[in-house]
Amino acid sequence: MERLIKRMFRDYYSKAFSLNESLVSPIERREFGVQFFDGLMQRHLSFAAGEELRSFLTSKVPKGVYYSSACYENPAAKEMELKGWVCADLSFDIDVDHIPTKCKQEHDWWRCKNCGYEGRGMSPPRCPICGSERMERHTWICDKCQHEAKEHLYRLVDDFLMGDLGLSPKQLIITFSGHRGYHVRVVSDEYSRLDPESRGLLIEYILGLGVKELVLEEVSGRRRYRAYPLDELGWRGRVARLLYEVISGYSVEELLEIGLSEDAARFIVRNRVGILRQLEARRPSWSFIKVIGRRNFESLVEEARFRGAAIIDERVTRDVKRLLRLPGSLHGSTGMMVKPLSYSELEGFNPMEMPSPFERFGDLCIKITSKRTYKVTVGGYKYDPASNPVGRPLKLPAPLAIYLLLKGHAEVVGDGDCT
Amino acid sequence: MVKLDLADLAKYPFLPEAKSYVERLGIELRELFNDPDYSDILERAYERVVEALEHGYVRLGRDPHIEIVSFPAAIALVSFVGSDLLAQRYATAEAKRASRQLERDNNLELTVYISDAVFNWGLKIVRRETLDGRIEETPMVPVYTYLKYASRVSGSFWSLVSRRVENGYVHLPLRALIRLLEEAIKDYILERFSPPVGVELGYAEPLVARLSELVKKRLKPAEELLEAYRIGEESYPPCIRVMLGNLRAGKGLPHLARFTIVTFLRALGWDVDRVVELFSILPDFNERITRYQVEHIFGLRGSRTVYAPPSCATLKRGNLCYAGGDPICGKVKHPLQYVRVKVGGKAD
Repeated sequence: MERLIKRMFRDYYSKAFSLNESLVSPIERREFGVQFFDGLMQRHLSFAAGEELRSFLTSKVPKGVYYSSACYENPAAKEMELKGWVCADLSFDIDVDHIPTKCKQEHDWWRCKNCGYEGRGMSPPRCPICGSERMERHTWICDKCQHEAKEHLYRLVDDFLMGDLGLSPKQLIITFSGHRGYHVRVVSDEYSRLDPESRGLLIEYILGLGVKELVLEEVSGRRRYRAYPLDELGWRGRVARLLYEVISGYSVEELLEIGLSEDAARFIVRNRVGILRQLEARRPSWSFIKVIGRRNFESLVEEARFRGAAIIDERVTRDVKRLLRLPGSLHGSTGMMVKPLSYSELEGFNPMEMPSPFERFGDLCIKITSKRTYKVTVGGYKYDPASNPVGRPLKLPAPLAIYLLLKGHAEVVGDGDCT
Repeated sequence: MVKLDLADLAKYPFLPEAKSYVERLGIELRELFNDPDYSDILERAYERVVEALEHGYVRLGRDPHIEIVSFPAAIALVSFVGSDLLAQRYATAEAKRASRQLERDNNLELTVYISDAVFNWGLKIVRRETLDGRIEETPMVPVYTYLKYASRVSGSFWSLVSRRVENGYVHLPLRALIRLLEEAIKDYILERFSPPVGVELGYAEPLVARLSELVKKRLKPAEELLEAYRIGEESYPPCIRVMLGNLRAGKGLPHLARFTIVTFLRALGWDVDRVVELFSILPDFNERITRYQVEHIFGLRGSRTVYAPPSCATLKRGNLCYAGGDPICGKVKHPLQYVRVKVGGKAD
């Protein structure tokens, strides 16, 4: 199987891949790293030009290709201290792995490598039974997850980067990650010089950490709330508007689901019009808090935060020496392309319909080896486990077959076995 | 346009106008250090450094002329002493003096002028009508400038979440703007320490020698201090090591970092004196206040609560987690747990 996949990856890097150098500029200052199919990593690579990188990829055929968000005096130096860090583009990673989605119950599962305990949905950081961190995690891509990733991407880009930070679309390099997420790199000298602590403040902002303290102050041991008009700037207005959304749109059941008490939920729904009028006022009053109580209000605020925050991977944004997937390279666990997207392309982009570079290989003959495959669309080709029985040789379009092979749910069988 | 008089230049001697004032007088360092006519300026320069060293603050002298010229002279003196700790302390004290003066002046136009003229911040001023009909003027700082300096000042007051953010700018009350400027002024002064080449020390020689003595007495080298209590520092988690490293470099630490160090070292069996001594290398050290705070955290004052070190989650939230790829950090939830795992014994 590895030989087949490597052959197809090589074919891609030699024929179809062309690096848009402006996306990694200045290329000679970036560190590159690759991960091979046997799992080994090679870091501290440096290339003077895109063509040089391409011939490297064609001859070595890695599973994943990465470049640094940082620029170095000497990117090929083996020791971090000798590299001469100059700056690092502010970068963001949105990955459904970090976003709670309901559909994960259907298609994601994990198993503890220590005690064998397993469960569905989002994987906990450690085994709930034995506490081990050695976890096997199985993820899947689906429409709902892709939709959710894009929702958070839009929040990050529209609300925070282009909205509050006033950046222009030209300053953003956006890529689909090749799996179930997106990367955004900000091209700005000012932001690229910030240290990790400064980036930490921005992370808090994008995650909305501290919104509770914004509306519920503690003054010398006594708690007070602060109301903000809907058109206020920053999180002040955002939290007011999102509270408005929650209060105007949620049913009693939905309010119960986010943690409100029965009484509080009923009170809000019954007095909805009056509460909303209070929120709309130029000098707003949130006196309904006094009726529903602080704890219920906190649940509302948390829900508002959840609707407004963009869930980003903190580590990626904080780390100024991190490697990111190279635009135009292939993702080694899906075979999908790490696709650069302009802001205007975003709306029409559907990763599952994205044409695959493996299209030209026609059908491949494989055998499903796992009972845990789910519906999926790759490169526009649909797969349904119901019509593809386990263990029988099947002809599947190459983009789909590669996805199933890389996810470890299938193996290659001889062409003669397929009918 | 802001009109600056000599008194303003004395308060803010890092302004370009102060620099050109000195240039216009044609006084060069060589003359300052070797001409007895300038002894009052040299004397004041020395005083500035001593005040910084002893009180963490530089007072405003009466004669503006002397105040302006003694500022670059003091920077030269500190450069000659060649102690990074003294440099940190002096820069912190001068920056604090400038920010106190700015607070006292309470002049938006002047503050904005300094931000732009010295630091090129590109501030904007927004005028809004308040609900009671007054016109309110608020300065706005570019978001990246805010992030750069606010991250060094501790407290939830500086969270960007609590601010009005608009199209790349953060609205700030004047006092907050001044606090950020203080950090920038400190950086500005720190960047200016480099011993002038080919200048004979002349009359400054005994002053530099006296300052070196004072530094030795007042600012014990961090390495020496830490050496004495070094037991097991390699077993500390990365966050504590980074915080101690910053302490060693004489850098200012956010409140949570200070609290973490104190509670952590208490748990490892340090006593109040040792902890206070450790903090004595910080540029804004004040023994009385530090001792009071440390005793409070040790449970010897006030509510008598003994505080435990913050958990990893709290440190993460406070941007103080430096776990990186540390394998032990992945397994623990608390800095003390780290030590236990590392040494395989008990830490608290």
